Amino acid sequence: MIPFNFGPIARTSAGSTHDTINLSSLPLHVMLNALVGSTSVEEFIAWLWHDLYKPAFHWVISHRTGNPSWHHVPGMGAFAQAEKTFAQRMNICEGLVKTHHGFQSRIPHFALHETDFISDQSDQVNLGAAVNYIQLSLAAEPALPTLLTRSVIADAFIEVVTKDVAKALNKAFIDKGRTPIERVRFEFETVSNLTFSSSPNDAEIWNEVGKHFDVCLNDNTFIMRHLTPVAIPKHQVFKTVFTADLTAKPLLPNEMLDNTVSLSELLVVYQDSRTVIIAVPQSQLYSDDLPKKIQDLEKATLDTSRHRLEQHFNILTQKDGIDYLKAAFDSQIEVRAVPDRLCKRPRKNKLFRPLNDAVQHPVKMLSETRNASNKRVCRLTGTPFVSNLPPAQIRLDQLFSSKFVDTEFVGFEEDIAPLTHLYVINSPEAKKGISARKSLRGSFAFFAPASHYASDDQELKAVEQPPLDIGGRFHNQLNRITVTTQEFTLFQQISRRVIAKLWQQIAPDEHLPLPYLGAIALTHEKKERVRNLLPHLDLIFSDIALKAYPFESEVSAAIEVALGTTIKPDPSAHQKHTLLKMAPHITTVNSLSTIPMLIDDNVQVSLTKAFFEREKLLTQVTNELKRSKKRVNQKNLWLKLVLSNNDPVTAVFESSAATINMTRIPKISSLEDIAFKDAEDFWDRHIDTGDFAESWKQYVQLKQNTTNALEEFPALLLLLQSLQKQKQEPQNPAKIKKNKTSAHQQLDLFTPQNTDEI
Amino acid sequence: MTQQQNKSKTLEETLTDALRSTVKLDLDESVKLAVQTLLLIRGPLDPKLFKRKEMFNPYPVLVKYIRASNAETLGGLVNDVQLAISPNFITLRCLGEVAETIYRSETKFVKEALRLLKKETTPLVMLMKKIYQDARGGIDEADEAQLLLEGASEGKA
Repeated sequence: MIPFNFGPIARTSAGSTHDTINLSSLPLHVMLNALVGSTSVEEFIAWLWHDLYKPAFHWVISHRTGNPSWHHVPGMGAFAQAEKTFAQRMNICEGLVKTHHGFQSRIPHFALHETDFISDQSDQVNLGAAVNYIQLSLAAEPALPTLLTRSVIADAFIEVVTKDVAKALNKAFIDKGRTPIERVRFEFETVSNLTFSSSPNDAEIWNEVGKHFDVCLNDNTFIMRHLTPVAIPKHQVFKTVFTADLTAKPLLPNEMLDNTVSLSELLVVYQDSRTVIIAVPQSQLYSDDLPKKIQDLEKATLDTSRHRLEQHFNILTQKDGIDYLKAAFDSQIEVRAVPDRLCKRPRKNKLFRPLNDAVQHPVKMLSETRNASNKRVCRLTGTPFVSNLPPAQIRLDQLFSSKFVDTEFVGFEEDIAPLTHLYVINSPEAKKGISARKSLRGSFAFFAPASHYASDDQELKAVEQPPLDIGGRFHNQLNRITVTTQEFTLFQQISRRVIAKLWQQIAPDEHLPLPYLGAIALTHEKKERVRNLLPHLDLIFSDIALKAYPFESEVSAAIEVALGTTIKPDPSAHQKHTLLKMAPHITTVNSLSTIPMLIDDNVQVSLTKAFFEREKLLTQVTNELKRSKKRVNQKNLWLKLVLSNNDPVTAVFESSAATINMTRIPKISSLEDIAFKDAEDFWDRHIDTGDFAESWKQYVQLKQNTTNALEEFPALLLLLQSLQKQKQEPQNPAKIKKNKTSAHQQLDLFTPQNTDEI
Repeated sequence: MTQQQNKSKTLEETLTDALRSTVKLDLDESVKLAVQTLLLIRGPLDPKLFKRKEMFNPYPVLVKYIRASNAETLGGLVNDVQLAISPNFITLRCLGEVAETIYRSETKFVKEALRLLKKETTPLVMLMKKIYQDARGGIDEADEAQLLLEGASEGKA
């Protein structure tokens, strides 16, 4: 189980639909409001603490409507004295925060309200009316040969926009003579021993709870302290700290897992294999000429993509005087502002901005191209395109090396789309003085967050009724249906952390290869790292538990996966093993997931939780089988013997007998003696319980389990060693040097895995 | 059981205790019979075998000859193995009942025991060894050889 806790819930309604909950946490809600709804630096600061007292969960029945009402506004009710204090401390107008729900023209108020950019998202389907969204669209079928390039472009796009937003925010603060906010820290404390009267008045709530809240600025960090009274002591575990990093710097895995979120995570609303939709601040804080800004962003995305592809992934973007990346940007890639933005939602306006219209935009682009009179079709990916590029070579031997064998994956069309050209020209057999390239052939690992998370419409019951829930809001179950863009962000955040946790296993001190996309991308040039990832893939089959007080729920975030590797060392793997055989696959992170993996160019297996459970069993059972002789490995032999219907004890006896080095047997014993001793050791380790009957039953159980494991997953024969988690022990240089001096000492260099012990 | 008591136990007493243990086991009759058959083979081995210069370890030898036998009856299997290892075996009163079951009876347990002994020889020998050694007080004639092997299997011999 992977636990997450980004803070308590923030809303129990979704525009027109009430009595619902949204698992998006309070920090996400206020950060996104500040980033997309502020029209000034003052408003930005005010949005950060507009819902400050929600974590008190003070609910009463409204005298006016008869419905439960969440008392949380600084400057009102029990928290009346807070606004003045904090507004003065933050040097902002009094009134902004207090009026964030009710418009009052006579006192300072926000230019935009939540009805303009979040409440109008209705029942999960709309973008905020007044929000500026910038969209990257890739008019390409989501085929694997272009996956890395598409992902690098998406990563570059998010990086460019995020850095630009961070720069603009920084400048806006400095222009107003204020210290720029680089981090926003939310501290959520819990307390369980408070007792309230049956009908607590404002003074009591303030003294017990309200006065412990705080808002302050410490250097570049904006800090908010909250206190949640809980009814049951064990629910104090809901306390947490959340930090939003607004610097646009990429985060390390341990920072991400320590509940810090980056600006790029906050701004990205939606991402899939064809599009990224990113929110940017209002024009007063970001740019008053968005069309011009978008042109600049597209140019910067092209430049950053080229740098990444060439420098980080060794991918050629130009050949024979043709710039294929530029051609792709001209014909297949578009950066635009999502249309139909309103400056402010007019009252009773029923027109919305469906999220789906934006998500489907790349498909619409493809559809329009497919109907164009001058359309061409890519024979490797099936993508229709219109381009000024000269027609590609028709003969396959002019496109690929002589070793290319995957003709069954090539269509009958006679052209290559610009994005696909990047795959073609990076052939390992490239001629004309260009060195062989392995980035787009052979081993490949790709893990990226996807916005297609599994969402069940489910009733959720709070873990407890909060002590100040006088109105009984959490007395009954609430319907969890609301998928606002803020909840999209929440699930992206979870997906990114699962991927970061995976990356942390092999490179804890390094950023993700595509940090702004939140993705791992490894090519054949780093094939060892692809293999190092394999033992840790069981993480993808973990269930995820999200704590969002007063709820705790299992959730299923999604990731996009493509995985191909070579199990046995094969220097020519990148020539035979093309990416055409593989397809990206979107899976949810939970115990029912499946990850397809291509191994050794001709076998594809489906990794599942059961697969890894069997792997763990077999690893445990075979851990001590370390003999080997003349390339016969005892562990592999044992697996084959068990698969051939031998019992596990006999398999130890036989595999031992076959791998004992006869020249090192003591004179007093025979090969059978030693093999039997090995089998007896195995019996003592895995079967003997001290009770004869129980030991036999244990033996029968082990026999069934091992046989079933291999019959169910024969691929374990190939994969067992690759999937085993092994500690990599650094070699002592002095020892290596010493071992070079004599044959006798050199024996010590071999790991036990390869050493004949006798 | 103390070391003093172990030393004073005769082979007959050891086998009697071992056979009694098998009767009490909460296992299928065929498994129990298979273990009793192994005790019938193991028990009366000629003591001189264990006094040779090279320490004799009966258990891997049992495995070898049981698997080599083509006998179609349990009695035939016992004969094959005993004759191959130690024709000068010792007859003991306590083995009479087991011998009668093995040689005279044709129950389904006998056939299943034979099948088990041929198919799962090593684990059954392992179980028999544990029962025999327990009855003898934790050590048997083959243990001195086993102690030497422990060093060998760790590459220290």
